[in-house]
Amino acid sequence: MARFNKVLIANRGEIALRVLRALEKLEIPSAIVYHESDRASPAVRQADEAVEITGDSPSGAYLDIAQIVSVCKQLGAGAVHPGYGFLSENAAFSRSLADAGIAFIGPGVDAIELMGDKIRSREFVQQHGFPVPASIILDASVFADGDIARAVESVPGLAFPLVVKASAGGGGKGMHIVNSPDELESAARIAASEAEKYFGDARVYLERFFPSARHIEVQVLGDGKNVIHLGERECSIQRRFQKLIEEAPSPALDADKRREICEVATGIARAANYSSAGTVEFLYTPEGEFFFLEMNTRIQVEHPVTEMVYGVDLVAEQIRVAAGESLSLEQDAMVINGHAIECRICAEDAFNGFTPETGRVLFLKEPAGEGLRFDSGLHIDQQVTASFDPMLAKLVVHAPTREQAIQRSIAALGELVVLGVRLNTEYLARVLQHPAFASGDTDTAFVGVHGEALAAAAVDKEQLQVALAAAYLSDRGTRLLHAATPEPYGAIGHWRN
Amino acid sequence: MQPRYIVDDVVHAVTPLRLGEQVTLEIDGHLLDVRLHWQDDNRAELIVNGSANSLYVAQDGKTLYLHFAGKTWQIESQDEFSGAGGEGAGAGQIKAPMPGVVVENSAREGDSVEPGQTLMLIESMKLQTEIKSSVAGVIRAIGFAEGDNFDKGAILVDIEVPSTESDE
Repeated sequence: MARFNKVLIANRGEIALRVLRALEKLEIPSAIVYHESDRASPAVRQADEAVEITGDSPSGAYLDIAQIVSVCKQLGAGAVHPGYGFLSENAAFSRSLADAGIAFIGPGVDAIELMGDKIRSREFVQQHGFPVPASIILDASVFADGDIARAVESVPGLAFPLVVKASAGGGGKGMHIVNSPDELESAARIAASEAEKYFGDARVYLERFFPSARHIEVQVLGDGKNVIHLGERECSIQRRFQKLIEEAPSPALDADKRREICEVATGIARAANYSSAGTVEFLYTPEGEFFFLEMNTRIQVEHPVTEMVYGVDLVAEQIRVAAGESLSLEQDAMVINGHAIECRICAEDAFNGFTPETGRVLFLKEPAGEGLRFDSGLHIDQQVTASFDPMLAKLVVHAPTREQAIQRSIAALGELVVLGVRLNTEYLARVLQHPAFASGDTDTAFVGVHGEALAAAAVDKEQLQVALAAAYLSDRGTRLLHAATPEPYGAIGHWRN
Repeated sequence: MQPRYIVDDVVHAVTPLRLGEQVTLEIDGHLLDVRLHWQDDNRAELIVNGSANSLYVAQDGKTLYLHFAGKTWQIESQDEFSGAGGEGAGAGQIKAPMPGVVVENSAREGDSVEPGQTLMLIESMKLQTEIKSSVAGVIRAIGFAEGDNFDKGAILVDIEVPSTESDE
């Protein structure tokens, strides 16, 4: 059996620990790079070897290709798992590793480049006969012509609202919605200038925007010869184009529609000679149409819901395939079992514009139980800062039915105790408790449309009194005072003069 | 001394009427008979008017973090001398609306500034925001250097406002 002598994890937090678990299962020695601020994290403490890397900023360290390649050489690691984010879809990183004779655990560099360029990838998909939303590329000639609105009108099926996207963006970055023709000119210019600034690539395109569509994506897995799918996930519950709650299967698809959309996804992956784990994202309209959005060439944050309903280990499969083995899974054996829901646990004030929160983890109690998986990089004394993404952990629940998965998720959110930094757990429970969520009536506008119903609940008076009593009795300040108060005076109420 | 606790910007007085193993507290005009049994540094059983709650507690300075009945609370114990409401101080203090990092400082200590003048460029959630002065005055202190991280509520810029224009 082909296997790696040692795999280096080029990531942090919960996904670093997730990759480490797969390496342990496959009995492959592990190594990890870390920025000083992650020194005490579980993945760094548990990996066989850990090497500190530095950067102008903490995230800069995890983006430093030369440094990471040099650590691989120093440790003799035969492969790198990039996780998600950071360098996971960076073709230059993949090339630098290849030049040093180190394997990149992910797809080939051609697939990364093709799918990383959103304009090229949607043209590729269209050429192979798969559906894409009506769109127009805003190249220099369209801008020079001076009348973008007329150019838009000339494209069949392109109507307002529109969304302007950066070709080098993806995952919600560099996106703006345009509601009417008079916003068009300035939105397009701003998007192009932002795209130039953030991605060094000013190319943008306009696409029809579906305000009430679902976000449905298909998990694919390839080994360079064969491509299979592992069904779909629905990820419609989003804020700022970022996912909050994901589930598998989607409550919107029947068996025929599922087969259709999954076959399109595998068709796209096959056309790209795809190897490793990947995700083909679609918009699914209320009319039952679906359109290709983009393909992500990495393991996704929400991969656990697929793992739980299909009983597979996607990260282990990625590692095996990268070592040159064939897929160990067969399409016909992939049978869905029950329902899984993932909640992204983020350090943020969800009831006040989802602004990030910071703090220090003072106490931690993770939920546990049958069908429950808590993927987390949390640890006591962890300093939660604005240096990294606010997502700290993922709560994943697997149950026989969707209804049971929802109820167990709500209970588990209440069992998670993290003291010292504000989390979004109460908000997530509010979404899961909403009748529209229960009936599967979800689309990407859910968070906004139900904003009022999802606002912070009025504080329960009795609960508040209990909280204040608990605060008073546990406050170190008053405990010291109690200890110093002679018993006879205790009954008098000496604070009352 | 009157113990006070702040929950969601509202100040609540907690008055002990009877101390001992069984404690009687007056909270917002209601009497509560409470008992607290510590299980370890962070866990306790709290009995309120006869019914028991499992309680998780952690304290960081004046901030108490509690969790019971599936909900987390962040409660500030009020400093005796801080008082409620500002005392004129803070008029020229620009606080961070959210945690982030300083991209660029466009003013220096000692500079005179006008309302609307850009003082700092910050980045948070991958979005850049200009921090502008809302007052006229002289910069007393710049809280952070370029590249520094700051927390929500940190003082980014402290501006000395001439007393004639202050609403002291």
